[in-house]
Amino acid sequence: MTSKNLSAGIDVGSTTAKATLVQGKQCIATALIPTGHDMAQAAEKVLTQALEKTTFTRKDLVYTVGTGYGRHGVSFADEAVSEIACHAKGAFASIPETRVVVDIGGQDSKLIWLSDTGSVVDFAMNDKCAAGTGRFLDLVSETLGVRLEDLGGISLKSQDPCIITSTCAIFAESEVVGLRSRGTAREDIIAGIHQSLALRITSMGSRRGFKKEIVFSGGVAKNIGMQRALEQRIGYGILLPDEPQLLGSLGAALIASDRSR
Amino acid sequence: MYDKLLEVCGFEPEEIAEEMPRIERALRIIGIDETGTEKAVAYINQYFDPELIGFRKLRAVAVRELANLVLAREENEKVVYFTPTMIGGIESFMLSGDNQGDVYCQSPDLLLWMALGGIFGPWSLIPLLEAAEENGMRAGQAHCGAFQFKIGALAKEVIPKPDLLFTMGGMTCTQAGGADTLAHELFDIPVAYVDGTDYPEGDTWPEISPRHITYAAETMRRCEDRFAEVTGVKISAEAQKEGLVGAAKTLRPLLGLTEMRRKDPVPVGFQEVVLSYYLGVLPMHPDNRKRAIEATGMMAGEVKQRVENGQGIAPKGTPRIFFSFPPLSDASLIGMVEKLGIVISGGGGMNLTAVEMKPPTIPAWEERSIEGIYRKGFWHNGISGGQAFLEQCRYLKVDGVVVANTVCCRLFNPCTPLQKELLEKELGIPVLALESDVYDTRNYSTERLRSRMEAFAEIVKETAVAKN
Repeated sequence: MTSKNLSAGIDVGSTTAKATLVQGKQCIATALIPTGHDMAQAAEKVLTQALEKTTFTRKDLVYTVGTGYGRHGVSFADEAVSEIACHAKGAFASIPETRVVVDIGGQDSKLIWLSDTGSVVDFAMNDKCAAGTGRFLDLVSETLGVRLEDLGGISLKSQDPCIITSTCAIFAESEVVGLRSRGTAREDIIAGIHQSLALRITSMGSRRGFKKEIVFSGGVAKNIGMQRALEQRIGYGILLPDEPQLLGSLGAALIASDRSR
Repeated sequence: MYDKLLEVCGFEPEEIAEEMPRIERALRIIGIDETGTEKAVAYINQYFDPELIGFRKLRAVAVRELANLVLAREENEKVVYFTPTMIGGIESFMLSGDNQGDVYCQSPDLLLWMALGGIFGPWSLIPLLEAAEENGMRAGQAHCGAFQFKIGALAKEVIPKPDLLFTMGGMTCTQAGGADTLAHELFDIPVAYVDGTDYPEGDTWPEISPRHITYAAETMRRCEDRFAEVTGVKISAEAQKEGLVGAAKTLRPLLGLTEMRRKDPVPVGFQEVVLSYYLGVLPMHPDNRKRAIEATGMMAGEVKQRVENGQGIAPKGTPRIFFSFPPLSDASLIGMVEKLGIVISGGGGMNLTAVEMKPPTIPAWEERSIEGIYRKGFWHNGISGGQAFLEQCRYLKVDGVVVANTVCCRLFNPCTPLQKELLEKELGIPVLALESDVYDTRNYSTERLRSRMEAFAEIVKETAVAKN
């Protein structure tokens, strides 16, 4: 391989840091690690891990774009680009029919509307209340003593999902404790939480509306229960890329590749 | 302790020597200590254009007027306040220092907001907000920060209790009357109301019903009688006119600046223009009014020179946005936006629309004032505000719009989604609804808004490139 056209996208989120390396438009390596307390260090580390999967070194990078909440802490990046632009770019590259991206991250959730050519035409964000974020699911898994990755599968067993407030994660957690003390089935509580989160997220898009294809990105996209709850609210199926957590860093890498020309 | 501060505020050395004792006394009453002064100097240096001498001189006018307000009781026979949403005949009278006799007239809400927020930084207003919350305007109930400044300042005895307080009933703002009634209950301040109605029938702007105008104008006449009763000074049409002429002389150069902001490159920052505009509309002591007229004239001359030299605050061709009501007591949000490769061309409630500039339909002074209020669009109702924004956006030829969802403003807040839809549909450019607050900086965080502002700036730049 030659070093020509090697670009990197580094997505430093509140929970995980991701790196994607591309040559031209071709993804050649990725890495994902927990962010931890030091975002700059996480950026360094995740890039190193991605490079270790190739024959390249840091010197071979032509252009690097940082994104995510820690984007301004990626000291070695040539540019910081918002996660909105990067998720849109990554989703459109993975699934060119993408018109709406639903991204549920650890710290916020977003809806991004794309044009037929992949440009961002509008977006909506919930970054004020944890009830609309992946952090809400963290709280629930801790409260119920269920592993985060098991929430989706368990919720699919529910026959009677609970109704849970969608306005505040703290109040919702209290509700969960109350339901548990009354002996409510675990799967019904978790399914109720997914529905509550789905309501919160889809309500952000109620004025502009949803349009096919809808792509689910971010770590929460791996939760099948969440996907089903969103589909139920929206009224039709949503698509899942191969690596939903890496869409942001992929988009960043593709933007870096564009800039390097 | 205040020397450096007064220097960055445009005071000359001899003015500092002469005026320091009085200003120092006022600032001590407000509670601006050494730390507050250092923070103010850093804030001014970080966020405002240091080269515009006219703007610095205008800041000096604001400091002097702040001292006039704080020391009003000991320096004047009578003190009268009016609410900042009261933009009409009484206000125009109060703008005229020469006609006030020994009556000090001021809108403390507006002056504290602009002078404290614009010079000493948003943190200087927090003690006033908290004092209001301890005195009836409970936290978490979406009270307007502007009225909290006044109630808090009265509670902390930062400003004197007035002999009369003019406020608005249902017209323009739903919170003004309630907050000023609280001032009556808490501090035994006599309150007089200009009453009126918002437009429940909806989107009739720019048609304004004469019935709405005459009703509100009649209540305004009653307030004028009350003013005469309390102060012994009769509000004449001549006095009102003179007040308006004084304000117009201050504002005329600033309206010229609005026109100059259409130039490419944009020659002056949004913050400097908006802050100057609001400082210019404040009532002032006659000496201060002369200084304000001189300062805005100087500022306009400096900006004109930049236009002639092709100088700008951003490179030529930088995309422009309209920002409906940005925070004005906190420079950090505008400061952040203007570093994202876009410039703010207009907004802040200061651009005149064609509807506003039409001749009045009813000649009587009070009716003309009331009609002027409704013509503003956003005082008519929120949808009309959107239409007024639309007109301004077209005039300014902007590439994007931010409609601020001012969290604690019950007038503007509910209309933001409708305004966004209207502007998107009519202009075909990106429109962002942004949760912030014009007054109370505790309702948002510039850092939290960074992500969406950066994303919005990216979309605006991309759209502008595609358009050109």
